[in-house]
Amino acid sequence: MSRRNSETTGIKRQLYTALADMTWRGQLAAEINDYPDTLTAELSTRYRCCEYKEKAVLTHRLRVAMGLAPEDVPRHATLADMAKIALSRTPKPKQCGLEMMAVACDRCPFEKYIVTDVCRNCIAHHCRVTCPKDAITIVNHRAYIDRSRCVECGLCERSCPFRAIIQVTRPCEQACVPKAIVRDGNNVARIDCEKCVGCAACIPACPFGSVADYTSIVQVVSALKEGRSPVVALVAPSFVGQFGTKASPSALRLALLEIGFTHVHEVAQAARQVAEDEAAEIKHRMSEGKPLTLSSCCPSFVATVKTQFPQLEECISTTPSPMAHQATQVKAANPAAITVFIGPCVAKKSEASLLPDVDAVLTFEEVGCIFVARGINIATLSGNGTLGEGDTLGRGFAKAGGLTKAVKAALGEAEIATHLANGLDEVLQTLTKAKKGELNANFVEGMACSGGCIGGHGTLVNRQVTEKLLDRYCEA
Amino acid sequence: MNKITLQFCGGTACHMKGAPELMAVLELLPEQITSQLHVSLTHCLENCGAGPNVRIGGVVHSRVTPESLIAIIKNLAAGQVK
Repeated sequence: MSRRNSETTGIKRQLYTALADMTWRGQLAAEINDYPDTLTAELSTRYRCCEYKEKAVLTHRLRVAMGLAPEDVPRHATLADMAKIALSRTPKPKQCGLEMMAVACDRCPFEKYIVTDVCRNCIAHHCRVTCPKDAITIVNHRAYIDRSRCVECGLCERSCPFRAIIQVTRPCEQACVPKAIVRDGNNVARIDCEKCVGCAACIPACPFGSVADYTSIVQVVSALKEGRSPVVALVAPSFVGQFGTKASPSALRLALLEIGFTHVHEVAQAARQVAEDEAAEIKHRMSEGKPLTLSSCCPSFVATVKTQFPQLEECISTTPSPMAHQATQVKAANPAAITVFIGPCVAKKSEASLLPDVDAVLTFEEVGCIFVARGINIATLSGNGTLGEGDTLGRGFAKAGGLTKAVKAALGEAEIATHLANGLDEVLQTLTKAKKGELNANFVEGMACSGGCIGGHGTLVNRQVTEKLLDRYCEA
Repeated sequence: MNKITLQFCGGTACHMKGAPELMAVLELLPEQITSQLHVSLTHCLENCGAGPNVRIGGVVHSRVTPESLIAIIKNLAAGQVK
């Protein structure tokens, strides 16, 4: 994947694989205390000041990977203590699914506005005149920003006609469209959970891998191992090609059954029903004089509406997402079943935390690590069929525009104006227009990730690759 | 001139350890080198613990990184020219 930050991603996957392996062998609590030592010895490269810091970071990574927040564990708890807590929990995901690990944050120290060599001590001194805090003086023939006065408003940057003052932003803040990353007095970054929409764009953005998402790997693997209740895999439409071109959809099915899932469903099946329900809802709302409906599939899109455009919340479709719909069907047929959604999305974890019918969420990356831990090579499993039941329109939900296509098909003759907001930047533009009443649309398909779900942060391959394979699968 | 054969492992372990990123690296090479390559994908190179694995000209290389892959290919390509 193009945005894969190879080193930190590699370490993360190594940890996930080790956790799955130790859990499957029933040795998690017995072996995990030694794991940071083993891994630090194994890794040839060092990223931190010393191996003690390296191990401290790994300890926090393991805690988060076991699905535990700092408040879930007592002070001075060992990894073995944490493992026992993790194993005793139900696999339910957390509402705020991301954690900025303070110990891993490198505290990127730079100031936001910098005077560059382009500054020639011009005649006008727009910067000095514009600065509301009198923070700019001329020192050594160029503008100088007094950091004790600067409030980082950015007026100097905008006022300089010669572009001599530039803005530099920390990678995490740069990646965060809803501006949910703040820093404390010591420059340590923190996620403001009130503003975070869970899109996970900050995860690959940090050069030190300081942001991690809670996983249910330990809980799911232990449910698969116990086999007391049926464990049902609900696989998102974007699965196509995620495990490599040698891994066919039916081989993925076999692999999931091999690691202990009792049933495998394509969520594409529920997606089709969601399109029908959403189409009916749009028609009904329009007849009631409510011209605009917003899609409900993408949890980050829904969260953006709720947190930043509360006046539009009423427009969000009440139709459950395909994940929720499929899980409800499974639970209705067998209330004892454990439902595990497997998809490309980190934000689905937050969505699932509020849904009684979804027990756990794994990303493709996480389930891939479970396969590796269990020694399963999907490429060597045979099969030419599909993963499960599904149809062209439902499977098309995986990419941006697929939902609109399915809704339009469900509407038949009825003509509506639709609008696709592809990626969080477009989502913000679209919702701003809608708020002002300037959007000419009856239905907005909002997708936080560019390209839709196949561009999600839990995917394993570049979305351009997935797109071609998906088109082929949809037509099959 | 014989082509340099590259067989990437498409098994799950190598896939998770970065095989797709290795294949993507080939696009960064100049045309005069890529034209000498014959690239394919295989099910398993039977060294799953040490992936990603790539068989280059009959020799299996393990723990291949984008940098080491480019170095190996450039070396072989330079040898071909001589």
